Amino acid sequence: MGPPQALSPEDLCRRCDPSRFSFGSTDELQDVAEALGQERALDAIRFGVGIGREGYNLFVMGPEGLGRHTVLRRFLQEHAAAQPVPPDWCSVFNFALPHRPNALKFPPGAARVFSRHMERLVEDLRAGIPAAFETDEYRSRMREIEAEFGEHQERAFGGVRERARSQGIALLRTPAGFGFAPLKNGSVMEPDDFQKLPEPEQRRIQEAISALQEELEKVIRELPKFRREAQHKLRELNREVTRLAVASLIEELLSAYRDNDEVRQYLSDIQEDVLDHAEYFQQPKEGEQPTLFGVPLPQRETGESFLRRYRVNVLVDHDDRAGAPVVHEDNPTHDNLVGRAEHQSQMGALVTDFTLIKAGAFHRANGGYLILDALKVLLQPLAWEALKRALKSREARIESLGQALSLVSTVSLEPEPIPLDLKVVLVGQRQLYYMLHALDPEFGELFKVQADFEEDMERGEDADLLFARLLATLARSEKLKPLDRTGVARFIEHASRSAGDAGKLGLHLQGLVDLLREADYWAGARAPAPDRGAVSVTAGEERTQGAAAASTAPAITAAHVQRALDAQDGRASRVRRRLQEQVRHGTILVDTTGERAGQVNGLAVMQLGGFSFGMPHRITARVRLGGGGVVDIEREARLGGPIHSKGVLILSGFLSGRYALERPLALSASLVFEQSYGGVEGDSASSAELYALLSALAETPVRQGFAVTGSVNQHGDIQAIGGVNEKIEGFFDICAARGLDGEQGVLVPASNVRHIMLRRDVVEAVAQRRFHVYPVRTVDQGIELLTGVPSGRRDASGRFPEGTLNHRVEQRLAGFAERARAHAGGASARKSWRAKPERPKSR
Amino acid sequence: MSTPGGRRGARRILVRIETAPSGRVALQTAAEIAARLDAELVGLFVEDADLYSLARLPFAHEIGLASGTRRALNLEAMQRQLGALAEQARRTMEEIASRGPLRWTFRTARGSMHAELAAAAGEADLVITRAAGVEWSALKFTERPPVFVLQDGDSSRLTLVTLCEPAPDPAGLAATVAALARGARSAVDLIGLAAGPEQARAWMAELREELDRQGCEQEVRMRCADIAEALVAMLRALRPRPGASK
Repeated sequence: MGPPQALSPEDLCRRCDPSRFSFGSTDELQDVAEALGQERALDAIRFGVGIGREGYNLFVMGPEGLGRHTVLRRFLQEHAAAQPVPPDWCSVFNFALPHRPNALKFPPGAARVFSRHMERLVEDLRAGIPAAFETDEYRSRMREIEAEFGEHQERAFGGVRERARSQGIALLRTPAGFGFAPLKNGSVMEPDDFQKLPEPEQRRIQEAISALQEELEKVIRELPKFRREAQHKLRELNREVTRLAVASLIEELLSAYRDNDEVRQYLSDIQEDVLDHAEYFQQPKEGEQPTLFGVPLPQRETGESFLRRYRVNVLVDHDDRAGAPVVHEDNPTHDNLVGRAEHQSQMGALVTDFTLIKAGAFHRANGGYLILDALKVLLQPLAWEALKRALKSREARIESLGQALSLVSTVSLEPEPIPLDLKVVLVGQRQLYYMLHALDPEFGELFKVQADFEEDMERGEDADLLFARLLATLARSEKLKPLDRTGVARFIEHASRSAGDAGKLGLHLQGLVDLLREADYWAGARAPAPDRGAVSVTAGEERTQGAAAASTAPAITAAHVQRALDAQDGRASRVRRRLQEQVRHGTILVDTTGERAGQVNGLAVMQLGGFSFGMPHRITARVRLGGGGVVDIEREARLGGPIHSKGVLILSGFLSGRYALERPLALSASLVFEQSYGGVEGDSASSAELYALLSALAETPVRQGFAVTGSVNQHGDIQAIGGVNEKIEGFFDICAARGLDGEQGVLVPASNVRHIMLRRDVVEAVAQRRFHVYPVRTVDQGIELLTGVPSGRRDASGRFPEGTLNHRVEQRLAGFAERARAHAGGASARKSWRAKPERPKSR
Repeated sequence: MSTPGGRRGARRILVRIETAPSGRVALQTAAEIAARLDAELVGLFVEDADLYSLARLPFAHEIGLASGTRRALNLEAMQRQLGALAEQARRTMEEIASRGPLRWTFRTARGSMHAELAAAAGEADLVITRAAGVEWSALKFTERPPVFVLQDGDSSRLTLVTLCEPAPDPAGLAATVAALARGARSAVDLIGLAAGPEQARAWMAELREELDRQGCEQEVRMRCADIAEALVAMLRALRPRPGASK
């Protein structure tokens, strides 16, 4: 196998010919109905949404910017529109257990009506109950009860008073009760007068008073009983009167809600409660200052706060909704998911009741679909646990974070849980899905359907047209200018480049939309004159074409797209420019001409804030006799990642397998990325390292006009790498800045050829034979290109032909092995001498 | 305040201050009426002399109304209790009066409650008091008697009591009643203590005529009681309050 032929310009960029399109602009194209290239993901979504079994929730995955949310929401909204509208839910007071508010279910839109019914009921009761108490019948019966109590009391006290008076003793009202004192001439007897009384009389009075006191004590002790009896009678009377006023009103509602047993029970509970608390309906409304003769009275405690218990808190209202809900909770905190009970400050204390319960996303999406960003859910404390609990229990239970963590010991609400019938769709990165699957055993049970979004699609004539329709759809939805066919073609080429594959089209919708907007901007009439210096700075980069400067353009053309790309590149390329400048100035040593043994230009891709570019790096190798194998200086300095170290270790395997089958590999070699002060990761430079090693071993210089990329395996096969376009362009830019001499080029893995989509200026240089790209399959092909020396294959006797590079390497290693054996023999002799046992000295 | 007929209503309002909660309502009502009629408000707290006599007796005891238990009384304790009640009454009046512009004074008297009330009432046009504890037969007026506004814990209803013999000046009484009735939210009850049916009929006719002459459009329900006990019964029957117990 000889050295490979350089790639043709056609191999370096798969152009899209605008003349292939029959349309004039994208205005003539129809919208794309479904997400382009996402058939598998859509099938999965369709399945996940369609299957109504437990645990079949969805995890929609793929990188950001693929339009997962848009596609998902559009699909779900279309699907949900045909689904039945779920019921409304209300929270109402629980008369038996006030801290556990009840949940009531209503047909869609009926909850608000019920709330209004209840408001009207309370208003009617506030009018009806006082009116009932104003009737003569009520007054008469109440007076009877009061009179009875008064008579009881009067009889009791009056009896004592009369008995006292009959004995010449007065019953007096003291600040805290009563006292008895003897009378004299109708007034309380003075102590002096009392002392003047005969002793028997004094004793008689004291005994009489003592007896009266006992009697009064007895009367007072019986008072509460009388009071309770009177209160009981009054309460019964009030209930009787209230029942009349309430019954007719409640009956109307009972009839209206005859099909809803829970509501009927609630109404019955209300009726009983109103009977017990009729007095609260007679007090002035909140905000209405009570007055007397027009003068405001101090505000009394009102019943308005008490009447809150008859309110209806509509948690979920589906009035005016068509179809099932599709809820996207963008801030999936624990409380936003499960709902919360808010608090009000009253007299310095935080209080709550069922009217302060707020529905969460679970409630709003119940009966429909809930879209959540997986990462956001995981980042919110306890939100993930709450989500899983809700899905497993199939009920929405409102519980505050404080309760969940047992941090709050004060009395709070425990609202009745609501049955949950919900399909949750998590959207996240693939890595997140795999991590959750690996680390959370419940995840697999709850999210059985994965919808994996593709990042690219196959390129072809039909696909190109579909892509053009996608552009048309995006332009219309974003209210941008249409694209003409050249603009579409340029977009397609860019999509291939974004995909990193000439045979594919990237589907990063966010990137496409951004580029569309920017191209539209440059095509717009109000676009300012371009700052060319800021847009295009690198010698080899494409320049904005004059057409792009046109102030008014009916459509986005290739020139506008190109200008937008140039501008993007220019905005992000500061670091690249600085590094290239340092190479040009010789601060970073990279040779692009001449030859040198043990030195190869490797290529690395640098990624900074979503912008990536290629840069050449000098890789050097030094060899000597030894037994340490290949030392990776990057690894020793802890600058190399594990994959890079793996690549270097493979080199030892290659050297041993090819050159040292019959003898030990007595080699000590060192490899380094010169002037690299950051970390090095990946194995894409392993072929370059091997070339440097072989060059050093064969003492054969390498042409510095070449740069190399590609990983290598132990058999010497060159394997594909990533970022091939950036790497080629990175080296091209350096060479172009110094002046292309026609000898420069890049060696790339042959398996990367389909990924090549180079810039126009690189392709033009190749067409003019001023730059070359070689597809390399084996190390032998590569080293031949780099050194100009045939690599050589073993002949029938198993030896490499003399003069070939492999022969030189083998001979050098054989020499190392021989010298090592010689060293080992001498050492062994020294060891045996040292090992000789010493005779004990005789005395 | 001047009435439409040019007559002026009450200029001086006396309020009997008690420290019970219902006594506070009486004080609030008095303050509001005084503010409305632009009258001076006089607070009267009577330290009953009989209580001091009781406290000085060697075997004096008090039986608590709330506890029903007996405890010994002495003069110092009684003085402290009554002094504290008087101070509490003064502070209550000060606090209520501070809510608006009001001319007010506070008096503490020691003696028979009825004698002191009658003495102070003689200098006032209106007397605001709880009905409970007032023995109407013990109130003696030789000259122009005042109008009593009975206030037993419900400020929304207004009950007025006065003597028919000697009777207050009909024009002045009508002016006061009309002024109070205009601010009332319901009908005003006016009870006259008359010696007999003839006197009662004559008094009511004269007053009704005066009220009509002064253009009082509000409902004033007049009735008469011939003896104090009948008045007490009448008062008791006047105030229905659902859900509340006394």
